[in-house]
Parts: sequence; structure tokens; C-alpha cells
Amino acid sequence: MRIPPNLQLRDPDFFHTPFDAWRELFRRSDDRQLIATAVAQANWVWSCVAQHRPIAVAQLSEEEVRRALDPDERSSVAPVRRALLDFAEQLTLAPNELSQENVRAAVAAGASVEQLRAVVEIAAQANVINRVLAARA
Amino acid sequence: MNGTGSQFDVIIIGGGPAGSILGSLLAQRGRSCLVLERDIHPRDHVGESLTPSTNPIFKQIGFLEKIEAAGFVHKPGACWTAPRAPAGKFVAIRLGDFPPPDATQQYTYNVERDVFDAMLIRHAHELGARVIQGAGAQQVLFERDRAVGVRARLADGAHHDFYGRFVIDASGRRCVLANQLGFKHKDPEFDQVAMYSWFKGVAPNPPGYEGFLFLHFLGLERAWAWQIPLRDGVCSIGVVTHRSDFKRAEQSPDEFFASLVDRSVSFAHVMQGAERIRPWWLEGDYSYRIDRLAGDGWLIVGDALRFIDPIFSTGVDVAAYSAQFAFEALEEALSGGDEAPAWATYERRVSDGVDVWYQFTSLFYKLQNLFTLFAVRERYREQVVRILQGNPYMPESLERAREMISLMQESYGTVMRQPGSLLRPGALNGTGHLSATVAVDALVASVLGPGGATDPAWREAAYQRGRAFARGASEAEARTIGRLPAPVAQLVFDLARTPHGITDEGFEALYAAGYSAESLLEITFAAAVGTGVERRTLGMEAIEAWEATTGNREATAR
Repeated sequence: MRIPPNLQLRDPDFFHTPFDAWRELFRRSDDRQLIATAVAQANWVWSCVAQHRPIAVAQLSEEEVRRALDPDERSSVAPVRRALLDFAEQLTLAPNELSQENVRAAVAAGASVEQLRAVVEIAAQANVINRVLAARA
Repeated sequence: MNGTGSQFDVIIIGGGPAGSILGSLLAQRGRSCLVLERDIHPRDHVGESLTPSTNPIFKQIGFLEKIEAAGFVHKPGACWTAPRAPAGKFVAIRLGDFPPPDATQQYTYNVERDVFDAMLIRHAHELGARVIQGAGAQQVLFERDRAVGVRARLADGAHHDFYGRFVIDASGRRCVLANQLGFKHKDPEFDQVAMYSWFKGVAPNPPGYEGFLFLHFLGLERAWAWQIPLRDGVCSIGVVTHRSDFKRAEQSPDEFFASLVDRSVSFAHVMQGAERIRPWWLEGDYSYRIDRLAGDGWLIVGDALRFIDPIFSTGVDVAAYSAQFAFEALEEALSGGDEAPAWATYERRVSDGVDVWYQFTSLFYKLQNLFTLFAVRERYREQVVRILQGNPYMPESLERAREMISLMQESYGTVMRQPGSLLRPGALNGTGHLSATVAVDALVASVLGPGGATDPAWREAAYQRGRAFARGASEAEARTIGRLPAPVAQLVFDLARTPHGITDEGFEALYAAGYSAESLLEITFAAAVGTGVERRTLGMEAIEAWEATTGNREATAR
């Protein structure tokens, strides 16, 4: 038994204000749901994957999402998307090893600084929510 | 000039709710009283939403049955919406969730004030109060510093002096007596204006929330909108905003209103098909305080004693309870008791309660988000509901309200010391730079706010260790940060490093060791937030380092 799911957070209004901010981030680009899915997948928090993946599929396609999230097939994904996903996963799995080299590689692949900043915001927040939900699984 | 000798026990200036309730109470007791009402009812008035606290007083004067029979809309509670929350998303407070001991029913009413006030003054008349409408009080008459009567201008234009043993000012925001004596002062903190009207075609409340008052926050400091469902598909819609915002906009009322509607997704949604069916009503003279509420031969009741803001639907609550307390003080004096102590008791009871309303309103405006968080949290919900039920005048409710105010003030201080907190006023206004730090701050505040289940030092340690782990600290290094009991430290480590690695067994051991689920949730949150905050820092640092190296501008513009 982990933290009982009915403990406060169960109330959908409980997260209301902070989630407003998060939702706002997601409104601005199709790939953001995909990135949140990739972060949740890297953290193995399947409840969060289940939340974000269907939206990413609706925004892109099942085929595109499958290829983006499968390490064996990611090389076939468009370079910019691949760079953003790699950046998010790096920030999730080994944040202390992230350096300007990762930024240089992503920019070289065509990502903009603005996109990378958005990835940082999303990955950071997804890492928080993933952990909370993991504790309540 | 005509005069009428000292034939009334009490003369009441004003036939709104305060004057009519007091007139009813006195008439029920067989006292002779005169109610002088400037207007001729029915007349328009703002303030259509009542609080359940008024039910017992209406019952006492035999008016509750008439309200029910009139078919006014039942109001079971109130809802809030955030400016950018999607339509259909709201926080609801159901007033009947925690019924007070003297509750007669689990709802109150939304009333068309023209009809309601007319019914109430007629009720006072039927109970035996003498009522003269179209009689505008010009001044209170004094003899040797004691109030002895009222000079009024009657509907035919003639002036007439009425005399009585006591004079009660229930003149509402005209504040006849306070203006005459120089006791009225503009409130230094509030400078609000309100504009409102009636609309048809406003989207109905969601199923299950029929009759609920909706408050829409507009993402502006000190601004909000009300949506009060009335009978026959009519809705009272009003906006309250800072006077300077209204002036600065230099727009017509329609344009200004439309600009405010657009600030809230929910408000805009419900107003999509709405059509205004009455002229705009603008309320400017809005917030004031009065130096004294009682003097030799006189008392002040209702809006005439203080008015702040209608956010908590307090208008009729203050009217009803000040009338009730004035009645008790008058009975004491009319029965031969000493006026001074009776007046002092009246002034204290009313001031204490109204001060609570004032402080709540003030806190609410300082930090709307914080108030909402208190409202949705289980442990404070009852207190918030009880406050919204009205009647903060009784000792136990006064004590409860003060305790809540103290908690909120403490939280307010905490939030304002955090520059990045999402709970700060205006934090949600921008769209481009909502940061993880800001959002997770709010998450922390929403769970780890006042009265947390764990030692604050533990939460801080969990948060800092979460950050350290994200920076790559070893378990041994993290142990030097703050102090945590070993099993809790293990939870923080597991959570920060590998969220999928935390197990049921680990939690069961913690429960068995006596840790509560709530305290573990707080620890979990603190650690999780630490990992997020540090990741964001590391990510942004990497970007900035690259920008510094490359001179970056071309990449940003790409």
C-alpha cells in the first residue's frame, strides 16, 4: 500500500492552480505531449504515460509516436524532434551530465533555444508529477 | 415645516433590509416605530445573493415563509473559477455541507432586490411598523447632543419633523447620520467600483450546481465578476474592479465589461449568448468606515455602518445581524435599562463581526489563489464553509473566524516571501514565462502550506536532498543535508533516483513505523519538487552556457 489515492490529491480541484500553469505550457506546441510521454516512459511511470500518450497520438499519429518513443526506431524520426526528445531524456535520466554540448547538438539538429527552454520546463515538471504519482500508484 | 410630537419609540431612517428587519422586530414586540424610506418600493438594488445566516432571523420575524412562497432561486452554495481554467472547471463550496446548529435549511436565496426589499418593508408594515415611503431623511435632529428626531422631505416636497425616543440610521450607503456628524471616512485600502446589470441567455449552471453563485476571477488584482442566477432565466452579472483600472481603460461600460469578460475563459464561455436586458448600474461610492456606531439616542445599522465589498454576499447578513443586535440594545433601553452599556455591547458585537468580514475581504483580495486553496483543502474546508455561511458575530464563530484569518495571514506572509510563487497576485498573468519553479512552488504551497503534517525541517531536508540527487549527489553526500529519519531518507532517495523503484513494501514499513500517509505525501512532494527544480536549473544553465559561448542571438531568433 503506497500513499492512499484518496488523500487530498484525489480532489481534482486540489491541483487546480498549479496545473493551470502546466496546461498552459502544453497548449503551445504539439510535441509537448510527446515529450511528457517520453519523460514518463524514461521514469517508468506508466500512469503518466497513459495520460499523455493518447493525446500525443491524437496530435500526431500512432505511427509517429511509436517511432519517437521506441529507441530502436528513433533514428527514423525527424532530426529536430529527435533532438528535443534526446534532450528531455537526458534531463530526466542524467541531469547532472547535461552540458552545453547537448545544447550544441540539439541546435545543430535544427532545434531552437526557445524549443529547448520549453523542453526544460516540461521535463522538469513532468519529473515532479511522475514521482508524486509513482508514490501513489 | 410640520412637526409630530414624540410619538414613536424608534424612528428608523431607511427601509432596506436593515431598517425593515429592525422595524419588524420592534413591531413584533409591540414597540411603536416609524420607518422613513426615501424611495418608493419596488426600487432596484444591488446585492441579490444572500447568506444562510439570515434564515434564522427571517424565520424569527415570520418572513422566511414568504421568501419561500415567492419562489426565489435557492442558492445552495458558491463556485469559483480561475481566469485560465477551462470552461466547466471550478471550485465549489456547498453551504449545507456543515450545517450550523440553528440551520433551518441547507440553502439560502438569490433574490431580485426590488421585489425582495418591497416584500420586506411591506412585512414590517403588516407587523405594525409605521412606514412612510418617499420620505427622504434630510437630517437627524438633536437636542443637547441627543438625537430626538428626523427631518424628512416627503413625496409632496414638504418637510416634516418626526420625533422619537431613539433614532436609527439604516440609510445604507447614504450614511445620513455619519455624514451629518462627520464620522464617515473613505477606506484607505479599498477603492473599488462595480458595474452590473441583468442578462438573459447566460449559459445555465452545470447540472448539480443550479442556483449556485459563480465568482469568476479575472486575473487582475482586486477584480472579480459575479454571476447570480435569478428567476425566469435572468442572471445578475456584475464586475468589481479597481477604480484606477476602470479610469485607465477610458472605455464605455460595454467595452470595459467586454474586456473583463475576455479575461476569463469560464466567464467568456457563459456570456457567449448573453443579452443585457437592463441599463448598466454603476456603483462608485464603495468602501468606507464609520468612526462610531452608537451615540446619545442613536445607533447605526446595516450598510450605513460600514461597507467594503460584496464578494462574500455580506450585505444582508450585516443588515440582519446589526438589526437584531440593535433591537436587543433598544429593548434594553426601552425597558428602562441603561443606554450606555447596551450601546457599548451593540457596538462591540457588530464591530467584531464586521471586522472579520473586512479582514477576510482584505485577505481575499491580497491573495485570491490562496483563499481558493484553503477552500479546497479538506482540513480547512469546514471553516471556510462556515465563514461563507455568514454570521461571524457569535463568540464561537468569531473565534473560529479569527483563527482562520490568522492562518491565512501567516500563509500570506509565507507566499509573499517567495518571489517566484504562483500564488502571488498576478503570477499567472504572463503566458510566456511560467516556469517550473513557479509551478512547483505552488504545488509545494498547496500541500505543504500552513498546518502541514510533518516537521517543516523534514520537508526542507527532503526538498534539498531531491535537488542534490538531481545534481548527482551520492547517498552519503545527501545524508549530510538536513536531518531525516533513516526510513524517510530512504524514501527520498528512492523517489529522487528512480521513481519506479519505490515499492509497496517500503511504504508499508513506513506506515508500520508510525508515519501517517499525509506526512509521507508531504515528504514525497518536497523531494519530487526538489528534483524538478534542480532539473530545470541544470537545463537552463546548459542553455545559458551555450548561449554565452556562441553569442547565441541567431539561434534564439530562428
